[in-house]
Amino acid sequence: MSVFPVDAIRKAFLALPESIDSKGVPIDKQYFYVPASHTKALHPDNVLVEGIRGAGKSEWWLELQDPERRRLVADLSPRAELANIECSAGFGLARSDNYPDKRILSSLLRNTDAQTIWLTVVAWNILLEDGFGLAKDSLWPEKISHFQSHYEELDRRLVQIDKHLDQHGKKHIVLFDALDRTADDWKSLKDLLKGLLQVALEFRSFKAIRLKIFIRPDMLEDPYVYSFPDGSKIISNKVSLEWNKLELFNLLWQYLGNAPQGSKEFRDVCNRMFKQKWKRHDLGIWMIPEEMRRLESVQQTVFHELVGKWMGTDAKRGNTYTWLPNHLGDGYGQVSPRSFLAALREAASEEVIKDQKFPLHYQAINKGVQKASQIRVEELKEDYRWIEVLIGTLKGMNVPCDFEAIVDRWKQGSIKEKLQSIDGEGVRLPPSRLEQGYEGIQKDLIVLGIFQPMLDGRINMPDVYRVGYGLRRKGGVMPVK
Amino acid sequence: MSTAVRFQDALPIAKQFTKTHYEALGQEPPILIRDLYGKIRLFLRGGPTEQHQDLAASLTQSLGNFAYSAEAIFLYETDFFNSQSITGSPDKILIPGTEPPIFLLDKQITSQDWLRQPIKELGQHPPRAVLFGIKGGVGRSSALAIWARHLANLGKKVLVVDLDLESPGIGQILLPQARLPDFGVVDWLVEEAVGQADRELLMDMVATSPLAGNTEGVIRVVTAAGGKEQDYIAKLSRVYMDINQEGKIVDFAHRLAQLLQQLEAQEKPDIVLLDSRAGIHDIAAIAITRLTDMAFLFAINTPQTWQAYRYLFSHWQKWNVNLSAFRNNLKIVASMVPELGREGYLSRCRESAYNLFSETIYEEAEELEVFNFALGDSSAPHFPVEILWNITFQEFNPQSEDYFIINGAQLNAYYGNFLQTATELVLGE
Repeated sequence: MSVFPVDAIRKAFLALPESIDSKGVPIDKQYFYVPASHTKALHPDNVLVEGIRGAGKSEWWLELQDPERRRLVADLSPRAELANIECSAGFGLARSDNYPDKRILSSLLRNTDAQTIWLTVVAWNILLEDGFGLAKDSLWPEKISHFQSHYEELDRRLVQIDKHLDQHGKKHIVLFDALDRTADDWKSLKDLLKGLLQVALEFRSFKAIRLKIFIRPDMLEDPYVYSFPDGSKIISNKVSLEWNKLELFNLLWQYLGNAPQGSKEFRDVCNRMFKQKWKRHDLGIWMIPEEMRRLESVQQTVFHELVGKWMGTDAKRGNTYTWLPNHLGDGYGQVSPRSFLAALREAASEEVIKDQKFPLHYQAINKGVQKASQIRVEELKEDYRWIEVLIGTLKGMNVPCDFEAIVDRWKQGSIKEKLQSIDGEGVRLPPSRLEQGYEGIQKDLIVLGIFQPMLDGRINMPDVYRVGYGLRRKGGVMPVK
Repeated sequence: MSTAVRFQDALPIAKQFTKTHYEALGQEPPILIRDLYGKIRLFLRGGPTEQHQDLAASLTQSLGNFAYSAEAIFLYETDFFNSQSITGSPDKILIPGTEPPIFLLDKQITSQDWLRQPIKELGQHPPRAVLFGIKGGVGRSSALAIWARHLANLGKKVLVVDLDLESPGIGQILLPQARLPDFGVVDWLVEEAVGQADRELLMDMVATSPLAGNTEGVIRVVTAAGGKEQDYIAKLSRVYMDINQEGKIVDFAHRLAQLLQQLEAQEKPDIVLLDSRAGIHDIAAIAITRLTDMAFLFAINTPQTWQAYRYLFSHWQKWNVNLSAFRNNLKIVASMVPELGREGYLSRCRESAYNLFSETIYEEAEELEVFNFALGDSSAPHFPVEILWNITFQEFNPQSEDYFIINGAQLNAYYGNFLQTATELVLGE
């Protein structure tokens, strides 16, 4: 029997988020957890922050703009040095007067280079209407030409503000996110990215004004975007938002220790059975005990009491603590925290099996992973609309398989035409190597961790995508019903 | 002239024939019998009918040299005094995919054990693991000795049994010559056949290895031959036969099971490690598919290794008789992994092993619950647990316990992963 009370803990699990995040609303502060490695990414001096879809880029973009949240993070992770900063948004998912949207950018690009556009955006963010010298409701072409004609004056003002901020020990960070929504074609997008990175480099000589750019790894893949003098300084100092096994479980503890129901029982047992004492922060948030946060061995012991030790009746089906993150990883082993939480949330909403010994049963975890796979597929759809078109046509296929077999399906499904006609709101970017034909698409899918090339050249697909897209795994015998 | 009907053609021809004439042959499921030469006959449940004469002639003709004469090719249940030996044979299997059903009784001199059911044993037995290599010389016995010592260090009582009767060795690694027990596995098999496997014999078959001297646990060793053996080959040539035990025919597999049970009853070990014969041998078949809880399949990443495993796995796949009873027990061990380029070697090895499993015995499906694993799933049977190769272990001959103390750090570095995984898989700790 588990040392945890089954019913109470199952209720605590229901605090985990169920599906896709509600856009623009930050997570409740009691569930707010900052992985140690992310602290580094938040530090004002780190300009380029990369992370896969779902790693938390937009979450941070949002959190940093909220003074109360910044205080909380500063408090929880002093090393992030966020105590005395201001933040504003230079681009993001939400509509704002602070920056131009996709359509405006597209028309601006006809007459202006990307670098000037972003420089204007940053200046507008820092100087505000008075300092910039234009009314709040002035149009972007006006701002651009104003910036160009008054360049020296505005630049001097920026330097003054920088000095002022620095003297008061303050910093101002301009935040950029959702950059895939700046253009509908890769050429413009890459020009915009390159311009933005150039601007970011320019501000390295400032003391207190900084840019922070949240970006997906696949957008940095083409060296074109950082091929300018000293571009390597920006790219080689990028930091990654990754979720390793340890941090995924910390995120789980944060929820279980602060859930509206069952969290007291969870914390009590942690304390009594594993000597892991939860402490309460001034803001009313329960903080993960040190060893439970840092040691895999302790995490494993606790998790085994929550779901059992094995993914079956004995060791042959694997250790639950490693099995779960393993089965949610993409082609590079990266796990989106949302998939992780969704799998466990789903497992907790499964019916209790007769004589169930632990709060969650391994069979329910299995179901949870399938559900998480569907959620991951949905999540990806928002950033890459074309993936659905491509992988949707592969439904029912067996992997691993030869790439030629995939191309055959694509030809039958006339995907080239379908890719042309992706429209509507949101991201409309096609695969970045579309001009290179099927081989180019293959490369794109490999970069995204959806296709996994085998040594013999065949294509495999990690479970987290395979299940969600309805592909099958090759076998020599049919299962017995 | 038409081309000859070869061995592998005959059975499909006979199967097709039976399917085509299913009704005319009688309603009850027929049984194809393939004899020791590979010649095929058809066992029918009813009696002969007029039509059968023509059918028999046609089947005889189509099977070429693998046919019986038209007069003898059909066997009728009604002709038998006791047809139970055919209808109730443990080796009668349903030919996969036949509907209506057609059965096969494949009479083989050896290798029948690869498809037989796990031996039903009364009562519980301690966890048993077998170490097997489809090819010899891959460090299997060394790994077994080091694992035994590791288990003893964890405080376990380990019973090691050398089943590599045709090239014994593990005894010599674990015991100095002077400490060898008086009798070995072959003695028990020979003596038992004449009703003399008594308590004294059993007690004189087990010796304590000095290699676990200062550990909390103990390693007890059963060798293939006794210390003063003079007649090994004469004995060995007699061990595989079925014997008559108080009127009941008992085959070699069941005799091995009895031996293990008696040893376990006497020694009360926490775990039993079996050193299996390499290659596709009946002892291996019995150990892997019928006696143990876990079978570690040693492999080095060469085409001939995987091809040899493929002969075996394809046999399982083709007949799919009791795969589900033992497939969970398999685990590939990548032995002798080179230190240089280790990563690359292991990923090649992993992919080869994955191809072997996924093309033969993994179940094809969409869901996660079936017997099928992702290429990179470390808990999967195909996912190799590695043992690194080092020149230190080339002439592995520990002799004394000091060896493990002096080389402790190195052993841990080279064998650590295997020791931990193997222990966890068998003991769950």
